[in-house]
Amino acid sequence: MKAIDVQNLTRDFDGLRAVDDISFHVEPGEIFGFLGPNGAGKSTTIRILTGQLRPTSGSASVMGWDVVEQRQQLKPLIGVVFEVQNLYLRMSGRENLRFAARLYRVDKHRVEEVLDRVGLLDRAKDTVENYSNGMKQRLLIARALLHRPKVLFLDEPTRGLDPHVAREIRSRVRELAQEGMTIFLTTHYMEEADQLCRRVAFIDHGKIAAIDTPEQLKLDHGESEEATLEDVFIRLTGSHLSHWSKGS
Amino acid sequence: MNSTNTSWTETLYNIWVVGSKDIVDALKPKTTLINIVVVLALLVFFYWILSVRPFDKGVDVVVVPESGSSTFEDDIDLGDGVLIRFFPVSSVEEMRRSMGYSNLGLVVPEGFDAALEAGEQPVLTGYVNWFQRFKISELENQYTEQFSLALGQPVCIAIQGESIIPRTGTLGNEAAVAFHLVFVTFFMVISIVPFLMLDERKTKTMEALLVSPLSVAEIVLGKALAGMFYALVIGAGWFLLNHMYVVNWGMALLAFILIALFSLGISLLMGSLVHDRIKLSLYNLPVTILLIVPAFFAQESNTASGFRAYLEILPTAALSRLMNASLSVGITGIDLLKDLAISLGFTVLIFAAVVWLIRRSDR
Repeated sequence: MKAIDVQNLTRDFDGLRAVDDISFHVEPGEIFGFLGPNGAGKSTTIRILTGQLRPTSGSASVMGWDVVEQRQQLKPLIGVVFEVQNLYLRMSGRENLRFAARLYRVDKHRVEEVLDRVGLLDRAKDTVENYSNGMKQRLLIARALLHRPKVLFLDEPTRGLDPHVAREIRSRVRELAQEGMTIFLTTHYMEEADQLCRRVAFIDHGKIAAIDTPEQLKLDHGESEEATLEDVFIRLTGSHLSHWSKGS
Repeated sequence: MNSTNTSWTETLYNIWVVGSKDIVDALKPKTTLINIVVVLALLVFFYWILSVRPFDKGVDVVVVPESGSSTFEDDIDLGDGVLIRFFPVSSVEEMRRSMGYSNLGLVVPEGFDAALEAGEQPVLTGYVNWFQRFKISELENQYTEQFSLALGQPVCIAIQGESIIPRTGTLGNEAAVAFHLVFVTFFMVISIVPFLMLDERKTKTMEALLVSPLSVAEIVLGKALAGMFYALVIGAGWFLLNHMYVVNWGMALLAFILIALFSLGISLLMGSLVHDRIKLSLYNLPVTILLIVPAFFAQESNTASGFRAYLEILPTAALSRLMNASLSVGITGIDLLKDLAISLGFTVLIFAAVVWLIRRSDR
């Protein structure tokens, strides 16, 4: 069984095609990178795969469950780290996780366990509004891991974080994959995708431009032996992306 | 976790998880706390202004002079601006119908004037409105003392245990008291619940809820539960202060639950439609004016025909009439069913609209 299986997925918004007939799959235990510029269709795809949005056509399943028809069965199997730090700011870190634990029927002890795992145990009783960006991001990851999901969706997990925190998060992601968790990662950082992902897909204007291992993509599409994933990305998805790619 | 296989206990637990979080969370913003204090202050204020303190202001007495007594024809000034005013009627039945805002009904027995002249202590039969039934002995003493002072010799006022209960549709304290419950409950709920929805959308925590095992209906009902908690707080306060008005407790509790549910529906709808805190605060005002202010006139028959027609179908007016019916006697089955249908129908429609709006977000 594929961890994620997407077939001819399309999503329109008021006549605008955000996702255009894409197909791909993700193997269990794989870190899969889903890369593209802003507005390319990454978040829309994540929203469809996590059951928040219905596709206009096509189908998708996660751990064998259809994301439209069987989304209630799908929900306990997935964890999502959203692009936005959507936490209850007036609650403490611990309260945020305890609330999530009650939603997922998870024991309270697990809350302490994940707080410890993301290094927030000593700040657990502080209100989240007093957390730094990095701490909030770690708390988001803790919340997504609380119920031991089979598939973890990470939407730009290191965006806006300082290099130390970003490196720490990448290290955690690698650990989780080693433990057998499937990870669907979107990121703007090509180097991050190169380091972490077994395979990556480039999405641009809603279409998949290429999908393969980072090494193979560099071999197939790089202009020289020193070509980076970013070079390949820019080549495949168009020069208009270079400005943000360099900026990142 | 198929929604169709989810047991009722799981559903209730999910609703409780969201509701209990929101009950606590609602108290955290200062604006909400201020709103709660304002509503509680309004609760006490309305109670205070509707309280009957006859000898602080003036005493209106409906008199039945059985033998043509002339003693109570002219008003009596007790000093300090307190005036006893008399309104003669021809029978006890007429007195019952005329009590309205009057403090006391008085039946003057045959030979009363002669007994006064003879220096005896004549006995007058008194009637008070039903909401004063719990303090009859206190009122007997008070009226006996004040009337003895006013007449310059002792009289005895014996208040009947059977107090005067108004018929549904008459305009007395009960109409104002019934409206008061609609107003404070609506105001309390609309001050809290839309902001719970709004905050959830604004901080995108709604997305986290939507990917959790909760269904959309459970999220909405969880928010409704938090609102219901605060509605119950204000309702408990109202019943504590105004219990003496209630004639039919079953109907009163049913009317209150419907008032709370309707207020919750409107609040959830507002929270789903408006995505900005300032706009939401601004829109609360016209919504309150359109829905609540007209309900004040729910019992008023002497209004323009267009307005009357609006009041007939306005759910808050129907709720006010239902509450009013629980504070009085004689509502007809048809009127009761009509007001129940209007209140329930609108509430169900509004809740359906809220679920549809949230579900639509995945379309």
